[in-house]
Amino acid sequence: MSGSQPAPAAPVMGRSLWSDAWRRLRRNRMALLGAVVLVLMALACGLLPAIFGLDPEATHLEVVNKAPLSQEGVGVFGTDGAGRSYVARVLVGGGYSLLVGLVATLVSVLIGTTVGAIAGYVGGRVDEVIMAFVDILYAIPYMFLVILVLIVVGEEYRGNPIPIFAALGMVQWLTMARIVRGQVLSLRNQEFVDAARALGASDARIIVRHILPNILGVVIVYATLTVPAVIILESFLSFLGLGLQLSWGALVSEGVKVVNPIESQWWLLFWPSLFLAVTLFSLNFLGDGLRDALDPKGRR
Amino acid sequence: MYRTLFGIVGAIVVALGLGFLTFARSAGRVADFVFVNGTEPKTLDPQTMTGQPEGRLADAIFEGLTYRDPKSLRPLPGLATSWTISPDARTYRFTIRDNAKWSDGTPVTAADVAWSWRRLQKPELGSEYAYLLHMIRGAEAFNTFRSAAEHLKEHVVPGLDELAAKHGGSIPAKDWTAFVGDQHVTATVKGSADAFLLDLLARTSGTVTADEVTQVRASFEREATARAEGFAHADAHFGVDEGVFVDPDDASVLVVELLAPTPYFLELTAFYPAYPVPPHVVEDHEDDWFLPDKIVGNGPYVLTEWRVNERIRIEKSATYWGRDDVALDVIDALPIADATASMNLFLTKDVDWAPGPPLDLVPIFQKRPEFRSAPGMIVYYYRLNCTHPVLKNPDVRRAIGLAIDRQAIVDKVLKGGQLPAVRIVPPGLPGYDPPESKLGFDVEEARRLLASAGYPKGEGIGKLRLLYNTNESHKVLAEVVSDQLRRNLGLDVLPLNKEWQTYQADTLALDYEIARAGWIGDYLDPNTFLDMWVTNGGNNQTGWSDPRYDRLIRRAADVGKALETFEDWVGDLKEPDRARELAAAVASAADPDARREAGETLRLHLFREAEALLFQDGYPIIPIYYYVTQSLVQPWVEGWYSELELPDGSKGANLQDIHPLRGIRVTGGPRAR
Repeated sequence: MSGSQPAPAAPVMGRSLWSDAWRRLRRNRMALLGAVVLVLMALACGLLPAIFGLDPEATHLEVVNKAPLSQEGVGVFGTDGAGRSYVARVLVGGGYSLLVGLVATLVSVLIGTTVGAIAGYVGGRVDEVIMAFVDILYAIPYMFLVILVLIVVGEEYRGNPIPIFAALGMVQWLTMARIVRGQVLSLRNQEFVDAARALGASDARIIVRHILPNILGVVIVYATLTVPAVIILESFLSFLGLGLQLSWGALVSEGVKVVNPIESQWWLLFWPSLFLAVTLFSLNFLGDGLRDALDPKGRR
Repeated sequence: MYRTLFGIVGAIVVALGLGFLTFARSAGRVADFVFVNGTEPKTLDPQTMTGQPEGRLADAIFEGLTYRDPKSLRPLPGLATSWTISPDARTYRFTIRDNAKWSDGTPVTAADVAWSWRRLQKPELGSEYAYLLHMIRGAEAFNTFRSAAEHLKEHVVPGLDELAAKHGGSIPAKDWTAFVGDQHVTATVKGSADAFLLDLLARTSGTVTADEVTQVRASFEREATARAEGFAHADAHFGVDEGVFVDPDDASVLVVELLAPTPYFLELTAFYPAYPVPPHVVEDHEDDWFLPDKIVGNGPYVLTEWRVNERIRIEKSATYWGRDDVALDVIDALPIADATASMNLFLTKDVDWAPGPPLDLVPIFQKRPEFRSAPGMIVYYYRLNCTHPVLKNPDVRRAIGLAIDRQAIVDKVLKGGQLPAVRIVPPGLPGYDPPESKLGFDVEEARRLLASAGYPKGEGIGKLRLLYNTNESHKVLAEVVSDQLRRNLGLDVLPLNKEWQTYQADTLALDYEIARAGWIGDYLDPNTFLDMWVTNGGNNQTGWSDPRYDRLIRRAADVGKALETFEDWVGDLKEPDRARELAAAVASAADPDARREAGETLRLHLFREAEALLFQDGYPIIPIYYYVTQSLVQPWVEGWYSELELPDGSKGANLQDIHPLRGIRVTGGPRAR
């Protein structure tokens, strides 16, 4: 591993794990494309509504149920039965979907690495208790847990993203904890950890400064793949009427209701589905690319 | 080893077989008629139900003394073959049909009806519709006096003592009015003849002296005792030998004594709260007697199956006296609230009758013959929680009512010919002249009111939940109204969707700020839209209370008695001169008919005064529009009327949107035999 080898005497730039990974990632076209699309998507959802003053809840009763492009401005993507601009709803809803994906993933990374690292490093009874707890939580259907949390916090928070962040983060950290624990278990008896301990480093310092940097790659890869999982889970919750009031999932759920044999407002289903699908594809391509880049052993 | 395997395979085979059997049984019979009933009924107990989905089934499973003729909705002899009305219109004698039977074969007797009407008023039952029959002698005492007495003894008197002790004997006017309001004192002593007490309750300025406190404490105790005695009397007599009872000389005759002439009483007896329920079943299974394996009814149909969220099946009763005139044998009611889903079922001919299509498709359906539409005696409105710290200010409530653009909602969102509403009583009730309403669409005035109430631009109000039950058009309307309140007043309104049962529980518990509601007139009289707003009325559900309003409704219920004290209260009216003219007309009427007619005009004028209190002073509710009823009915369905035959032979709209299943026939379609 990198830390324990003497630096070469020649003034050659060292090739760190990260620069290697970055080079490998750059060679993966799909992953790069995914990253670019994600950045664009995030910028569009985050900035466009603010720049153009798009209000997803404003009802324009003079343009109810208009098809895309039949109206200028608010009606570019069409409007719904209450005359609300779909371009505004898809973009702002997308902002919420992405935010849920990011924040819930962060929550899961935070809890998962902390718990996993402690369990793996301390070992013994602590490890057993923690992992037994994780196993128990695993055994409970996650949907049940999420619904329970959302019901307990009550309807005043319906549509408020914070309980959703918490609920989704709460179920997603379990796998993360297991992965981190496994990694820490294999690292804690390595020579560099012994060396650090011999130099008098405290346990906390060893975990934070020596072990965590070495499992960061795995955590990043897993986190990237957690984001789309969370977005899908949130969409599913919204579809059931338990998620956010406005997100791609909620919009798809509204869109499905207007599909009928007489006259469908197809755009109500088309736009959120398209945006959701493109984002999920991009996230998965990027996640795959990152895994290939950060974990050379796994490559063909 | 093999034995275990055999065991497992055997168990699987048995399980599959059982599953198949249940499936096969359910696939068995196809109904003759299938309709979409909106939501899952909360109950099938006619005395505790309140909604339309429940009512449609209750009309099929039970039958009152009268029933509504499907063609005209006028009351026809049902359980009672005939009746006589005393000259003062206060005593009705109904002769019970001798071949009327419960679906288990037991005869339906006059005693069963008396028992059921007593049950409706039972304080323990807590029926929201109990007030509907409070014009029967002793009913109100039986229904409300016990809790009033307890409230006086346990809360009002101790509260008064505490208040007096806090202020050293006397009570400042501000605390006094707050006390009267918080403890619903006026409603609790409703009907009291204690002039001192009534005067004091109406007092809004000046200190209540220590002497007066002692005196009013005695009054409260007297009222409590009087009410406890009143309840004890009613408990012993109501439904036994007073109010509603079996004629001691003729067991087939039911006698009903009314406190005041009630022109629409025979319509009430065709309405589900007044349906008889079987005492021999209800007594044994008080909580769940209305479930399929227990329920016993006396109507044209019996309930045979209730699969929650799937269907309710009713089948023609073998014991109903008029079974030969009932066309359909098996009817399925589907609990589907989703307009698109029900429309799809209609288009695939899987249902014969469904509610109107989704709002967006109304203009397309309007050209098709299956689309039936008629003006309705139905109003769509929002309740405001008058106990909410901000919404208890009537100016804030009026501001909300002024900030909603009803015309745009009707023209652009609903698109079905609905009428914008600024009052609760729908147009078209004969003889009723509605008062002016101070609601409308005036954003400037609304903002000014909100600012002068201390909430400029909606600051400091916090989040307001707008509760609605699951339905796409309620959802769209909730979103539009929330946005209009947000943009016009700066209010932070959160549309909140709940299932029908939770929605009903929450509005009843006042656990909302704004709640969607609709009211279908139960009979053709302004009273059905107005008497629900009396203090603590079962269907009030806003916490609003105005003693003046309560008095007006009570006077309208008995104009003859109210005229005796006319001069005492005419001054409180908004239009006393008009009332004086009408009272003079009653006094100078030549014959009883003219007198009754003049009294009727005065009665309608009192309703006009009452509605003026709602929409010039109180604003507990914000009407949005008057419904146009919309339904999808297959061409092979007969006996489903959107136009009724009026008594004079002309046609009128089916204002109440009632389509009794007993009158429906099918002449074709996929389910015809």
